[in-house]
Amino acid sequence: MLNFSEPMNKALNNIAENTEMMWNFADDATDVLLGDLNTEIASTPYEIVYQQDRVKLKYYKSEAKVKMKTPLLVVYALINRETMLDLQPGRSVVQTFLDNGIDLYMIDWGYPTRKDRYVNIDDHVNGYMDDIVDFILKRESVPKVNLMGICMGGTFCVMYSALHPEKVKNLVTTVAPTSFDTDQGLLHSWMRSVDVDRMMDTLGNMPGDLMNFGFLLLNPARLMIDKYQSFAENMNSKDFVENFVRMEKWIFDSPDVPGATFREFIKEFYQENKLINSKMELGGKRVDLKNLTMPLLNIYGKFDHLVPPGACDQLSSKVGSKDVKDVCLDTGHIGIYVSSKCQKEFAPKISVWLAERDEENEEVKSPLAVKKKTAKKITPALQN
Amino acid sequence: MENVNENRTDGIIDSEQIVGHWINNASRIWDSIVKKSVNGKNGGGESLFSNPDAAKESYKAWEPAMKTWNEFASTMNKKEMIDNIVEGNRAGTENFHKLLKSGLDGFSFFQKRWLESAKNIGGIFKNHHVETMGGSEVFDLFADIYNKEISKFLSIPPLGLSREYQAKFQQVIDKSNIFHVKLMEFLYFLYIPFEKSFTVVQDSLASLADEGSLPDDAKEYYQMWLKQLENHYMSMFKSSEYTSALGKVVDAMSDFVAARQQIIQDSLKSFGVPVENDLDELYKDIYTLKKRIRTLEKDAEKSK
Repeated sequence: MLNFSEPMNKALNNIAENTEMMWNFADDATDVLLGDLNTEIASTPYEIVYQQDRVKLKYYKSEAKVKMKTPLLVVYALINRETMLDLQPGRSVVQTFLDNGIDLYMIDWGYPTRKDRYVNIDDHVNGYMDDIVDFILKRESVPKVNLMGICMGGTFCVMYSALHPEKVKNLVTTVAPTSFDTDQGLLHSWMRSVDVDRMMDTLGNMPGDLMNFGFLLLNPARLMIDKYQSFAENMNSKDFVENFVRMEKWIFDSPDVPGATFREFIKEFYQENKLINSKMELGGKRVDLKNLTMPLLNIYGKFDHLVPPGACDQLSSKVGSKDVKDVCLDTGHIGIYVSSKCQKEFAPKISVWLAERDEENEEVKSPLAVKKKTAKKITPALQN
Repeated sequence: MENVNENRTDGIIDSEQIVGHWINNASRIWDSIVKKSVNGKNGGGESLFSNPDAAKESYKAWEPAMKTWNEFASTMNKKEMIDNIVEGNRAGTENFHKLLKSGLDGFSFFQKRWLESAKNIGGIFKNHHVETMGGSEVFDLFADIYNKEISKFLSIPPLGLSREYQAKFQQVIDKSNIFHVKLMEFLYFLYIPFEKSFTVVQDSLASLADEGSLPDDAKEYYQMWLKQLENHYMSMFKSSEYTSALGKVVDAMSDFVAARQQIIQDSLKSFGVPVENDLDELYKDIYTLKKRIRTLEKDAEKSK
């Protein structure tokens, strides 16, 4: 006769232990979720020193003893927000740059409204960016700036540097798409089947929520199921929950993209691939990549599913510069900024590269020659 | 009283005369009742009314009406008049029958057209080979049926003063139907990897069970399923069918939103509220002006 009592007892014992474990977990998770959570992002202090329409310029002053002479202007993409570069203490590209003696300027593109639907790429590059660069040059009394672009911001920086090489000392592009004739990434094949004219005529601007949904569809299994399963498993950890919520705050903080800009980006970049072939025109002038003669550091992610390596690695062979370096990191599109591993590789590498190409470093002795007209200091507590 | 039997011949009663006799007799009866009530029996004697003089006056007022009624009754009693009435009834009945017949004929005509339309739909089914149809082809079938047999009713040109608004309303209905079909097709594509991953995992579990190596940890089952799901999504997203469905749903959404916006803007305009199109024109002007000013400012600065 078969004896069921032992396996039955074992099973019941397992259930009892698991139930107790589950109750303890639920108890801890409740304490965490109902407790005091620090989910603040972009906490490094800055000033708004310039504003034009919805576009603001943030200034982060470095307190390092040895500083670079040339300030760095960081241009983020129009998709999502630049706050990702300063996600949290210990994972802040901004802080790393400041610690390495770089005076940092960062463009905040703001939140476009329907009023901005006619603002195109030329307005962003030759309008806002050029005005901001001129402002920095005057404010810092320097002949050129260092320029760093991220994702679509990197694409803008490439165009700006090709059109205004006299104002750019060194160029850094990170996960910046410049070549769109690739099937490596899903976005590249999807964008070719979209009638962007019809969309923008109807919607005005490209809604941030719709873009977010599109990005989630790139990997729904991981981004819509596994991510939250992982959260559920780690809900009892305060650190995990805080980091998770910070990422959620950033990832779903999606401004709309001005309709004219989105239309041009899809048609002239994704569908016609004009930039890498030096056929792109802005403000009546051709963007010739051979005019990009300043040193170029081009960083991209090996596992980037949004901007695959094939979209980034052709730039270095098309520019006129002789001082060109490609760096491929073993990470994805966002991990390049926020993963703890890349914190030691990414921003420090850029700092070293810039320092090597800066003019002689100066110790801080006196205030800058031109008196700065400072705006109200914005602290994180005020910015919300 | 007239004797009905006077006109009876060969035992057959003439029905036309019956009505006439009835009317005449009824008039006489009422006349005599009224007179006796007023004047008493046989013209003398006590009146039934307490105020006979008033009753007489009252009767005098009624007398013309009674005479008119008697004249009318006599006229109606005449054979020619009765013949006309009967003829009129017969004609009315015939006309009613004609009306009914033409209505039924019209209904038959439309019924025939509906049956033809249904036959066409059946033909579409046949052409699509329903028996061997895959998942997403059902949506192509429905789109085909809708475009060929149903959409045309929404394209009937409207008439009248409000024709423009009617046309816009028809557009919204049409675009909404198309959008919902395309959306269903797109959602179906998103569902396919779930179905496939479950099937694959079931087969994997069956093999593992046969080998006796089923995992103990529930998490391993989850990871097994998730990996399959991810792989199926990746392969589906690269397919031309998916990108085609994506393009179609985006286009359909744009068309539907544009049509809906038209209706909303027309409604808002009637309340005097500025609408998006008005504001867009304003934004365009502001944008152009700002650009010109910026260019002039830069030129002015260069020339300093």
